[in-house]
Amino acid sequence: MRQRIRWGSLVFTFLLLVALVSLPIMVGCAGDDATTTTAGGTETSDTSMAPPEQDKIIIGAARPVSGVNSFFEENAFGPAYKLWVQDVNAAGGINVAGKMLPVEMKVYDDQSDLDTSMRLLTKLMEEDKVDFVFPPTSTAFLFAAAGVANAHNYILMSAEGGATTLEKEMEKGDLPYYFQALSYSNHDQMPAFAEILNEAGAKTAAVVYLDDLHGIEYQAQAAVFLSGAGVEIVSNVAIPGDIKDMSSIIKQIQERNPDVVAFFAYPPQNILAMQTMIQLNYNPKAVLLGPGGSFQFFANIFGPAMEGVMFEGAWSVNSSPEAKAYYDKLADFMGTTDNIDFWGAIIYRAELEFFQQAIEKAGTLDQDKIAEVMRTEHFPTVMSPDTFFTNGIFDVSSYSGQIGQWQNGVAEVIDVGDKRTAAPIYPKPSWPAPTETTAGQ
Amino acid sequence: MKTIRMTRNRGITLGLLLIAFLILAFLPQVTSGYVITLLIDILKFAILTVAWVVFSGPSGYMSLATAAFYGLGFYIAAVFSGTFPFPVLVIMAGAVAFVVALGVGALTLRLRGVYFAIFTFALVLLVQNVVLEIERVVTETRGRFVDTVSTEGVYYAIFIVFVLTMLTAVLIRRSRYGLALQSIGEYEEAAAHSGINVVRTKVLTFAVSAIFMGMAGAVIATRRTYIDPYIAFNLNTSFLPVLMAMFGGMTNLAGPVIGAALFTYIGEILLTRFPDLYMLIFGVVLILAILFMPNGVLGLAQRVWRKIRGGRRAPA
Repeated sequence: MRQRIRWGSLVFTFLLLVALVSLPIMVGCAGDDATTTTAGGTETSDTSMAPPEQDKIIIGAARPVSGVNSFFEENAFGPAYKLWVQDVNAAGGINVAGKMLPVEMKVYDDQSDLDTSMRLLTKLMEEDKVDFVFPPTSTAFLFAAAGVANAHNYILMSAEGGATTLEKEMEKGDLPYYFQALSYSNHDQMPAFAEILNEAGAKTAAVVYLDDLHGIEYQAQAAVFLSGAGVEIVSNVAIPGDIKDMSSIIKQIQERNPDVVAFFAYPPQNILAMQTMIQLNYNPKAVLLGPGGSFQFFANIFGPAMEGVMFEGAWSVNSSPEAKAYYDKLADFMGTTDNIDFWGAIIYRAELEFFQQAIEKAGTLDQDKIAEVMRTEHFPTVMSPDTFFTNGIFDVSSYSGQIGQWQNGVAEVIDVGDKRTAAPIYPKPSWPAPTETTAGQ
Repeated sequence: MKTIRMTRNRGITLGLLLIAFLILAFLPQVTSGYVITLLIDILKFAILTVAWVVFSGPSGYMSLATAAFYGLGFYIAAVFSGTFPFPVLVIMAGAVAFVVALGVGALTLRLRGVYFAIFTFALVLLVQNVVLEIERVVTETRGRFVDTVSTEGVYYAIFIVFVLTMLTAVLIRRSRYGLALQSIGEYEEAAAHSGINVVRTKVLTFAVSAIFMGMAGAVIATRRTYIDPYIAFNLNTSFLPVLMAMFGGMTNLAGPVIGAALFTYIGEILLTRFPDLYMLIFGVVLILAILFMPNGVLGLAQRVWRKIRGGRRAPA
């Protein structure tokens, strides 16, 4: 008797499962989460090839619409690709062998979860069969996505992420479809930082770094390049991500009195560092901030206290008329200037413009042919009239700059050389009296 | 008559299991990569959920240590990536998880109720931070690269671990050992007085369940390319199997499997079709499941089926 009930319930469970599994599919067929926008095609298309039969280009992405990385989808690569798609579609589309194809985005929320992100990326390539994919957010996700995209022979350009460690994988030749756009420590920012300090005559530095990929890598590269520029690192301290009090660390640094303090950390730690230095009235001659320091909101939070503070980046509205025009357009699109990033924003736009021109030059949607164009061709972008990849990485000459400094509330590029938009302020002014700063509000 | 019917039903059940086994075994030969990718995740969660149920189901000890053993598997795969063949890495991960669980269990399984749950929760954070500190101080890095394995290779590896997990779970449930664990869950003092070595039973089962969590971690790590302590020791990995087991039901081993499969699959559909309503729908479904399905989907199905059967027989 007992066995008979079990058997029957097993069949019933099966039917229930079929119903449960089918329902969302049937209901879901009606609602497809895709957005459409178009940008301007150029006249450089290779018309010798037959145009594709399709009427639009679908680009897929697993992006952090929710979760801990959602800030980046809202304020970093998110607005960049949305604005680019809008521009492309407004101009009729991308010119592929003489046929204008509008761009449609198919974006899934990866919930800032790595497993979900990779699964959805696979779905986009294998089930949805999108024409191209855009990258997920964060370096770790990017590393995983690079492998997945390459396994499917899909081009993947980086967005919010990148690190020297991935170069080793690229050097092996395992990632022929991967292109690194965002600048980072070894080729770009630390050599420029060392040059600036050398020019300013700084002799000693303290480094505070977050014990994560970004912090560990930057402190290692800082050790190499600052030492090479004759700047001695007198203090090198690791901090955890959830640090709540930095006063003992700042006091220790204060005792050693270095000329420069560099914080290779993220916005929460950088904000804490600024607040602590102001509270302790510790005034080094130069302060460098990691991610977050390049955002306009950071300058807005600290007001006059940001005068002379350096940041990893970098570009400026004074870099070129094109950069200023893009700043205005992006601010208008985002509805605010608060979240404009003077590190990545122009790089994201440049890589998208580069990608569009590579497609048009290739005159096909074939990934191999476009990848080959990307590896070998130079294109003008908002960032530089001569933008190109060297060994799969944006060449250092293509960037608008590497190190920025806040001067009168404006982000300026202070690299040594022709990218500079303003002379560095060194030493930086002392922190303003507490009543003049909005820090901590 | 009753014996014949029982034998026939058992034969049909075994036949269905064999068909399911064959379908899963030959699926990569006939279908596309995304289905396989989704199945890899379903099987991964099924392993974690069944392994969790093996110990926490009958004993009543709420373990939140799943992420610790799963993450250890990640790190075994990463540290020895390229040094040993893939199958050896998976076995090593299971062995390391077993030894660690044995040590942790021996120290902590005298704790009960919420104290044990909090300890296992803290264990994940402890292991995560120990690994983080070792990486920072010793190797001076944050994460590691892992040699990748083909999707098919990962699928077959996770499938084999799943089959091993199910076989072990069935054997434990049907053995005296399983009965001992159940009696511990019902009344621990009475179990001890009736001659059951309570601590040994709990510690061994805890450690055996950890084997499969570690093995699953080692397999899945090869899908990641790059891992770090925050990716490996993600607390979601501890909580999701508990939710999946509750959703599917724990009275039968099919429950956790159904829970893991439905949770993952419906989650995927909602996430891709209704991204804005995803969390809302999931939250409502979970609350309803806890309120009205104390024995999960399987329990509900059994209850409704009994009513249908009862209603049909009533006039007679």
